Amino acid sequence: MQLSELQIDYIKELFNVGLGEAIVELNDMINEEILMSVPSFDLFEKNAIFDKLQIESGRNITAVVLPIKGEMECNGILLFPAQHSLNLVRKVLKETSGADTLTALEVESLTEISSIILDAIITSISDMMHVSISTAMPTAYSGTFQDLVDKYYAGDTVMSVGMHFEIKDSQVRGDILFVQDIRVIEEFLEKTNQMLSELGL
Amino acid sequence: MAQGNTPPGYLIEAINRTDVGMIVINCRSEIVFINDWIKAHCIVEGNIDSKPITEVFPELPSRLNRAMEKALNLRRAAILSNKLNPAPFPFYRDKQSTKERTLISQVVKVKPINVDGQFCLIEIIDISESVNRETALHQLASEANLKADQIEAQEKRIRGIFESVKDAIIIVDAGGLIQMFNHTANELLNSATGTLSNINLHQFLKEKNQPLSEANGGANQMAAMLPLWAKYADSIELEVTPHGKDSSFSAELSVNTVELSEQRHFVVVLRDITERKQYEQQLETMAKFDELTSLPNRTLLMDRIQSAIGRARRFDNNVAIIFLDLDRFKIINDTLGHDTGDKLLQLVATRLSEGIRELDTVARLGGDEFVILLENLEHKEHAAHVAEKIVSVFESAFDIDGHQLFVTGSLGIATYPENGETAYDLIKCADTAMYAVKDSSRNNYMFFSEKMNENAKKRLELEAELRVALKEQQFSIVLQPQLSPDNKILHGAEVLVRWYHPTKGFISPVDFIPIAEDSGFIEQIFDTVLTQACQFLAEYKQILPPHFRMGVNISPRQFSSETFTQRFMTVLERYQLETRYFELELTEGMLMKQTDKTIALLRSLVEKGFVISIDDFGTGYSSLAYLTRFPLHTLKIDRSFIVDLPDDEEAALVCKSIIGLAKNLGLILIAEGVETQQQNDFLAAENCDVIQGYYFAKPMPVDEFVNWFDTLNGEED
Repeated sequence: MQLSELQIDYIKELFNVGLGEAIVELNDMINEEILMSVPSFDLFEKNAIFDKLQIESGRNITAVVLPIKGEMECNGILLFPAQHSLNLVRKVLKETSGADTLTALEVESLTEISSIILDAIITSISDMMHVSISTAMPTAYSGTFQDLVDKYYAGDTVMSVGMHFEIKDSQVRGDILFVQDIRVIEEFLEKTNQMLSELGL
Repeated sequence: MAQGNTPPGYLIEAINRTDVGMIVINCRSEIVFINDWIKAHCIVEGNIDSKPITEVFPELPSRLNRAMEKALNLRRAAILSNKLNPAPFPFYRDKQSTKERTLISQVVKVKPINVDGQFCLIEIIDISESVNRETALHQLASEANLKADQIEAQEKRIRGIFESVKDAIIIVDAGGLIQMFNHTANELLNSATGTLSNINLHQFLKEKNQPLSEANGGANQMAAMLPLWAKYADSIELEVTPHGKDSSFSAELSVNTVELSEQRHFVVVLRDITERKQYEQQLETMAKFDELTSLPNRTLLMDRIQSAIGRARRFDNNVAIIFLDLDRFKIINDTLGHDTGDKLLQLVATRLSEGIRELDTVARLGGDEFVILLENLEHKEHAAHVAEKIVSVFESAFDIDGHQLFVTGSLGIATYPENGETAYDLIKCADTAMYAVKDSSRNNYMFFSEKMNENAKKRLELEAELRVALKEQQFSIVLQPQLSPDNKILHGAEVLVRWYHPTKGFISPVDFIPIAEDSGFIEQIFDTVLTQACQFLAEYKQILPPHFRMGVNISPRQFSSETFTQRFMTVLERYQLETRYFELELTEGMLMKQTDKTIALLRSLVEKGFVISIDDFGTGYSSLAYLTRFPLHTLKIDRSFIVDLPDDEEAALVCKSIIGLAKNLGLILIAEGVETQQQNDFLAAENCDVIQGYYFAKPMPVDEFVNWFDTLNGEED
């Protein structure tokens, strides 16, 4: 499935606007300026996920899973390489020392932050597609990438949104993944094209 | 409850008993349900049912408000973590007591409910315990981290010290297996980095050349030795053989016990003391051996004599000490220089060492004095054989830089137990015996006898008395006239010194002059003599004949003194006397040494106006050559030639020859010791110029001399 430059730019912009709300919310909470942006967007088949994300299947990762219900049922997943999640949480919580893995309370905070971000992206999608979406409680996951994929990715196509966080001079990379049936994706792209033509593009 | 269908009672009960706080709000944000947990912990007074939640809890964080709105409007779930939102609701434990109550740490979950309209469930989970636990854990972790940092820093410091010390530090287990070691240990034991681990230390150590590894199971021995060293020894000196080397070095070990992981270990500090050993050995050599000859010195000799005496006492045998002094060594040093003297001493040392048994010791005491210690002698006569052998080593010449030097030695022998019980006594006795040889024949040996001791004692006494005599002015001069053979013309007088001891009476110059010469008093005695002679001259020079001269005897010690001339002149100046009044009587021996220097000195004396005469002519190494080289004025024939005149033909011949020689060289001739008319007549017949002796006059004190002279003048008149 090939996307044009124009499509990709439009989708990225869409998500960036959506993130604006999340940024306001996060800045309120932590009194620290967070910058977030979407540098990349991609669509690919589920079995290409390891190559595309360049994460080996056996690698340990931390992820937050947000179950999406309603007309576009799937899991929204924000995943971090393990050390990145630790850095992000510690930066946000202004904690400098501690164990080299996340504590239960820290995992909860990571879950909250991630769910705010995921929520913003989902809102952008549902707004554009005029679909009704609800979400259930986000949960945290820690384990190998392969296990994560097996457990939470039900569909055949992956919509991948690259995330870039910047907080206190440190940069954290994350990936937001939605795995859905190709049908839903095609619908999403159709909407996108429709919006583009409305804009005369 | 606002709704019509009342749920079953057990369900309400279950919801009320849960440990989660539950609030349900409707689409207008009005509270439609709270469970008992909320009632138990909420401090808001009054009925809150059906009131908008934002009114009941006006200070909820905006994050929560937004989450509730989203749940109601967009059916989104949300979680408010404790760390980012510690206590969104004002819920307390023990809310009754305003003092004791504590705010509940919460996690809040906001869930949309879409049943019979839009609702929102708000769950409040009390996680105070978790928070406390994590805070405590965090604190523990921080403390542990801090401690770990401190330990790491400490460890770094200790490592730094451990690695930088110049001593090898090796930690071994109870059996001697190496567990830990520093860089120096690696270097000293010559191991590749890190390969020392689990090697037994004994493999490197040797004790008294016996490798610990071979001596009866080294590892066992090591395990046995380590606790002993740690407990009883400050340091142990051992030989260490580095890995893969045959040679070893001296090392000093100190061992301490240390408990590591509840097991006994030993810290072995190993120091290379090769340099220190060498230095100590050098010091010992310097302290015990003579630098010039490498023979044992006095210190070591005394030790060895003392040990020999100990052994002789146990085994009932004899020890002999031979004291050797080279004859006339001073002359060699003075004439040929100290370098030659030193070389001669080295050659003598070699010959002496070759001439004795290995058991015996040759030592150099200093100068030209050597001592030979003979041990384990069955009879003391054996010492005589050794002494003869030593005398014989001087028979052949010593070749020094092409010069063939002959030197002899005088030997004194003392034996244990006869002559003393201590090293000091034996050396003293042997020294005394050696002096006895010097005084008699030289180039010989003598056993010590008590009589020698008495002589030596007398000598010492005399020396002490000389000091007193000078202070108390016990010295006076006598004058012996020197006349023409016809007893008419007074030529001059020889000044002689007399010592009248307050208790011992008259002491002969023959007895005290050699001692005064040895001890250095001779110069002071001469000053006294010269002063008295000057006093006499100053008083009587008007009545004495114009050519009158006083002969003064100059000793070798005075003559070689740098200050001799100046000292003499000072006295003369004090009495305003001219040098021409003085005839300096020197012996042949004095002229033989340092010829060039002597000629220069004599010339300067003659230029000043002194007259030089040779005393005791004919007894020394008479060399006709020097008579022409020195600016001489007078010869004095020794009394030994006069005493046999005129009947002894040989004596008569010698006298005639000497007189003839003097005449030919234009020298004045004085005959000493003339006691009879026959002697005088003979000398007169041979045209001897001047006569001195009892025949005309004995030596007289000054007053007597003046009277005698008056009488002589009267006869003349």
